Amino acid sequence: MAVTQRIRVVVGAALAVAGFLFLFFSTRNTAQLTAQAQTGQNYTSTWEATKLITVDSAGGWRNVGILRNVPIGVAEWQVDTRTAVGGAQLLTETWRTPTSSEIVYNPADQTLTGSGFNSADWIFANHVGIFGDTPDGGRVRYKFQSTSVLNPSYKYTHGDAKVGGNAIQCRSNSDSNCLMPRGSYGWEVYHALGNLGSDRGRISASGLMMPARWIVTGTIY
Amino acid sequence: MKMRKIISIIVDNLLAIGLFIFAVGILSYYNSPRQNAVSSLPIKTSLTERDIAIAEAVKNGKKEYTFTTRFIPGVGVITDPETYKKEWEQQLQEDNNKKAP
Repeated sequence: MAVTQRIRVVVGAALAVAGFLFLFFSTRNTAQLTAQAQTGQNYTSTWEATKLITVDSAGGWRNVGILRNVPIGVAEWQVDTRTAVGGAQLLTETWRTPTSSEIVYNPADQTLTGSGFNSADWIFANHVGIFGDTPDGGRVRYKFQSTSVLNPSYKYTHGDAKVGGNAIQCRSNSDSNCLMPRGSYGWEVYHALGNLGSDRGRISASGLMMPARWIVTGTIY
Repeated sequence: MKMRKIISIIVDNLLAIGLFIFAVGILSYYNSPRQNAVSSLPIKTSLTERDIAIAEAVKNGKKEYTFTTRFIPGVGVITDPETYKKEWEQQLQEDNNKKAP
């Protein structure tokens, strides 16, 4: 073979090898994409609250009575994950707090009790009764109720504030003791929203009951 | 005799053949879908616990899975509950002082 012929053979072989390598990697790329297409796609998740943590508390003064069923946070979520295109179901999940039985705070001995209640599963704080009126022994009751407690039958109106449902509970429309949520999983009894008494604008009781852990069960479709 | 002639033609044209294969390979490579061009990702969340639970269920041929998480929807992960509680109480105290007449 002439020298030029040999060079042509070597260069040709090198080019052929390079061509085969490109073919190999392009095939691998396609295979990876196929695998991804089978398991992955754009998706949307909807979170629906189906159960709420609500609070009952007195915490006001002058025999205010107990204010009830103010929701402070979600106790159960239903999660539905679907493909963004076509809406096919991918996953459903239920998120639950570690317990869903009533939890009671007793200010007399500063204890929290409830069936299955484990303090390690919750972040809590309770400050009650600075005005000394303590129906039910000043107990605070955290309940787990379906979202139907948000029945908009109650309306508080004061000045520009209009709140439907149980988002806020007051002794009456113009009263000074109102139980309301405070941020995530917190609450307060705010004294003297409407009155101009000497204790105007004080938080007379407050609490926090936030789940520190969730138990999730899911189904793959 | 014929075989030798064919081999001779191939050897003479090996550069052209190599060039042809190279061109086909490079065209195929650049026309194939790139991984970084994929805009959709597999079902992926920030929850490692979920990923592990799903992987385990798939491995065992199950459709149901369960896991626990310290991720609080709408709040995030609270790494230090005591600090969170103290900050919540401190904010409450500050608000109370502001609201006091």
